[in-house]
Amino acid sequence: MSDLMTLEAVSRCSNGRMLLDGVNLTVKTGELVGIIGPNGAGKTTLLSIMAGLLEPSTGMVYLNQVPLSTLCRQQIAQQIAAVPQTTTVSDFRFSARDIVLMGRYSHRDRFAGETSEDHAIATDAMRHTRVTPFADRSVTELSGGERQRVTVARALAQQPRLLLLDEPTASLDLSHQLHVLQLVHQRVTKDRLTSVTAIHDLGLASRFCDRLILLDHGRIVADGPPADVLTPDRLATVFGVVAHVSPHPVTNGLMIHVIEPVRDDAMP
Amino acid sequence: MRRAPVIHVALITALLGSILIATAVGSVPIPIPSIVAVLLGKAIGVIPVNWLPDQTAYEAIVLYLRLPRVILAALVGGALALAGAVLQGLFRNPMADPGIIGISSGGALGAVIAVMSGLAANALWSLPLLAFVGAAGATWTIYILSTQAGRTPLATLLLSGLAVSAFATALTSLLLTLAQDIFAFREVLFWLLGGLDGRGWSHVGLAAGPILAGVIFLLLFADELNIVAATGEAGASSVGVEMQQTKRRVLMLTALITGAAVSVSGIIGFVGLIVPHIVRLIVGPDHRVLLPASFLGGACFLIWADLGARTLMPTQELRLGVVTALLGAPFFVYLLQRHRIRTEVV
Repeated sequence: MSDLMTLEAVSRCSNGRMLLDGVNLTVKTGELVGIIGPNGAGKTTLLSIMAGLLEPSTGMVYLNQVPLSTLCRQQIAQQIAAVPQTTTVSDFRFSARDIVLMGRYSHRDRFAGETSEDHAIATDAMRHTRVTPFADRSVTELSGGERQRVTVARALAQQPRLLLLDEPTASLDLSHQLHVLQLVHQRVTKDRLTSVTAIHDLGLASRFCDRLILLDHGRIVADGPPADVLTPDRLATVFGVVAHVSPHPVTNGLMIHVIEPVRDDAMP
Repeated sequence: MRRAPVIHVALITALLGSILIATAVGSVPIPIPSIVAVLLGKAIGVIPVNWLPDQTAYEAIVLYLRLPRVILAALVGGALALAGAVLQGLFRNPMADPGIIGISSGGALGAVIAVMSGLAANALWSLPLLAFVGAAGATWTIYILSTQAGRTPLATLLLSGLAVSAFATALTSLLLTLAQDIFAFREVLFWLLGGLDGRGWSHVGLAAGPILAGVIFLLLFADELNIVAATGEAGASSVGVEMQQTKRRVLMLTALITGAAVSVSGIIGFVGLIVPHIVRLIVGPDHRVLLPASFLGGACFLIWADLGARTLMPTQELRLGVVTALLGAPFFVYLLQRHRIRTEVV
């Protein structure tokens, strides 16, 4: 498998705080990587840097061996799509379909309008994300979860090689959480998409990701298959909880049962 | 999303009709066939018989008094409304208009300096020139103040715009209180209230070039404005919009058309704020439709407001800026109530 994205000693400093501290990371084509870690661990910063939306203070980011900083926004957008954690609520009454069509911007000619191919791709993306029923409603009238699916549809319409998702399931109900992750998983296995996803729910993370990266205080503290990363020891040191981890009886994920917070005197 | 041609054709028709009517109405009413005859005579040298009873007088009134003023009203109204539509989209803020980010007040300051320093009395062209320099200077200052490490956050831009606007307005008031000469004082006051009285073809010549060029280039940014308005700055960057470049170009073009408008008309409020809202109610948020429709709508609106300014009072002209606010504010409130719009951009 070829290296799609490489981060070399990437740090990001803001107002004297180290948000990311010397991150080395290689993402290969066709991987589904989950980023986990407690609040403030640097998950969103890492994703923003991978999306080229934030410049690293030091270090380099490469996309297919090309420094990301040398590419223009259009070139980046043709290969990387990003779904932010919170979708900014716009007051403008664009329809969901309008928003999804905006994903086609980087593939469009400056002076040409939307082609029938753009419409077909947007319709397809909306069908897969179950946006179709409210495709022509104004986004100002949609719920948070519906809006999040619209943003995922927009990212799919971008037809990226690398899909970056920041807590894509945060405002979704149970059925749609599962649906979005299954969709990404299916695109990764069937269509050779690569995805890096920040995800809070460790059970879902272990079930859908081939590889988990555990961040703490801006550093990678573990990187590997879910069963190797999610050990009771690490849950204690990084998340501060005493937990029982066992293979899930039905899915191939892990079952993480949190028992109690780690007592201060027991911390190493 | 696409209702473009119908509404645009309707607005172009309304604009042509407004130009004819506004040219006809005045202290000496001129029948519309006579206006057509004058224009035909000017354009192709053929005057239909019986359409023009008093050729010399009608020609003088139509060609040298009313038509340039009506056309200037259309250009200024169109420019201000388009500038408002563009800034509301770029800042994702329903309150944005050329007045609020300091472009207009910078222009006014330039104009006041031209009057108070005596430059305007010696060289007529210095007033519009300084007005334009003021508008461009204010925009440039705002941009520099808000840019750090190559990034210009739109929220910072809006706030420094407010600061620069307040500062320029304060300087203008200061100059005004220092004015010894009562004539200069009156001229400055007239400038601040905005108006098109006494404007002729030379003013049209001054404003038309920058406004039309700026408008055409701004129309090319409709896609980017849609994306920024709908998804915000980070969203726009991630679908491939070069945000820094877009902001710089859109702001400079907006300063160009606003500066050109202010340089011939003074400060005319409310057009840039309300016309885009009204047009958005009819055509929706798509800037590809909204921008041309705002230009045409603003042009019609200001023609009628200026017609009101020069005909409502028999003895005296009203200030155009006063008329736009008097007409605009109640109508806007009516729209707000009727459509129950509180936080949404209509």
